Amino acid sequence: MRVSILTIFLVILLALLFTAGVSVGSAGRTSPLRALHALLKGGGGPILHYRLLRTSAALVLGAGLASSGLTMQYALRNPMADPYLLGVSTGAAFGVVLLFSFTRNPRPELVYVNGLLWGVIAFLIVIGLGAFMGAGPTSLIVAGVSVSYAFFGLIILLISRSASAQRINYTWLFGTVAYPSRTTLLATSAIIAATTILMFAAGNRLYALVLGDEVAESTGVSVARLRLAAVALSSAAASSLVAMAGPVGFIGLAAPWAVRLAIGSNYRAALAGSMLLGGIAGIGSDLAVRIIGGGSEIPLTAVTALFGSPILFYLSRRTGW
Amino acid sequence: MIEAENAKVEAGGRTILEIGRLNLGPGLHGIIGPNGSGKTTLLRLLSSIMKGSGRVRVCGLPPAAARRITSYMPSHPQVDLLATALDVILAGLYGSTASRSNALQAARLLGVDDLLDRRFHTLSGGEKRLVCLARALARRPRMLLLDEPLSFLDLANTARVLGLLRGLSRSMPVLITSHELHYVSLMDTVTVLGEGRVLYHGPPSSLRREVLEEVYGLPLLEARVSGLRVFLPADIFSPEHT
Repeated sequence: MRVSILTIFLVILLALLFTAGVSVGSAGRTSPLRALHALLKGGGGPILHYRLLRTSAALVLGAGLASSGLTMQYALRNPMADPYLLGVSTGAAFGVVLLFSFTRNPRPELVYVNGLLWGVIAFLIVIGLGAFMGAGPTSLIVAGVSVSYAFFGLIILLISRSASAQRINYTWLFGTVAYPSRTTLLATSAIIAATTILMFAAGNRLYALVLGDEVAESTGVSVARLRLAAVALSSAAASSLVAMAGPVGFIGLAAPWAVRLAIGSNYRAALAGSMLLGGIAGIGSDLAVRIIGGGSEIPLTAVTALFGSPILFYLSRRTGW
Repeated sequence: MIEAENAKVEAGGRTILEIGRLNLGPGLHGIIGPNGSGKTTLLRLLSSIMKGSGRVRVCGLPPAAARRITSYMPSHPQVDLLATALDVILAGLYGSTASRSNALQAARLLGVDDLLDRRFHTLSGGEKRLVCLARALARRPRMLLLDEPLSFLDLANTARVLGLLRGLSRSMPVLITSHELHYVSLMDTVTVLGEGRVLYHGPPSSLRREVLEEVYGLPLLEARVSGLRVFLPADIFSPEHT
């Protein structure tokens, strides 16, 4: 009963925030009804279309980060795991900085493909190193942290040594949905939809992982195979999101955590709840960025981290963890 | 229901378990032996967590195929930090035909139904043990493989669990490892392991004290309580210590 009321409240909140996302911006406010009417009739002008694209990107970003983070937490049996733990964000960021070192004003689609590609490359390196060390959760985390730092070092080197790399938009480096492209949003939405369906399908097996490897194996789960598949799905989703919007922090860690503290760890229920809360956090953070920034853009991570960390701390204390 | 013939498990280039022949039907079967003697390895072999060579059958099936009808409980569960007691019991239903109501029934049976909303990691050692036992029973298994199910339990819960397991063992094999030698006489059979080999297998009444003294490497006292044999370390219960 309590869960149903909470779900209804969150769905209404998401709908309200989405409407606000389309209606509010630095170019002024539009009545939500008028905006909806104009969009449905195929009109609305460039400002409304931009806001719709941007708000949709924030929704996909938040929901996708939450599903990716949740799956990473189950796969590695670590509530501190987030979508970027296995190197995809620094890998993707490196790819984009590298592109800016060689290209002047690259097309958004090229930035996207490059980010996605390097996110996947970083993940494959991590999996290779992790397998070399035994492929358990700890080996993967150690490999992920090491590869992340290595790519971080390369990013710093590129930015400090290459004048052209300095042209990179720093807002992207800390995450933003201010520069959406229809193509990259569609590609990302498709990847998030596909990975989420597969995660949901493996839901009962992922749930069994909370019991530890031995017990999960004894119930019939092929733990090593499932872990590899789950981190691959999570990292593919995260790579596409970083490629679209840069590495936005905290939502992928905090949304799944908050949901699991509130409703327990049943994977499928937690997946639905996390995506709902992640979507709210994504759109809410983007709205906050627009309001705080006025006409100028502020990176999303500034808001997700500043607002998210006290909320997470409060929730953890309240639920006695 | 459990058959093993020339079964062998190797790890790190050495044999850690070697069984010539072992047949276990319904009943309460105690597996005893010092630390590192192969007790846990035997349960892992039967629950398909570890692979071995030789012939092993569980209810007529290879262990991997029998996982849906067996329940294994480790001595040290590695449960996710955010999981609740209810999560532990429900997540454990994977692969079985049991339902949520079986899970809740098992929780009531073990007396942990009022702990279900608590985070597993905040429970006491004994409470964790009872939740894990409820998880094992909730699957409605046809065989129980329990690694040290009596550790951390207080006297009342030990009696409750032993009574429960004795009841279940009338219809299925219940294997328990234990360091509590004073419960040996309550078992239907006892298997003594030493350095991965079976040193004794049979009814507790025929188990000679010397076998236990050799495997544990210390002298034991043998006493009788209500007609049942009880073994105690002689040094600790000698007059200079009491």
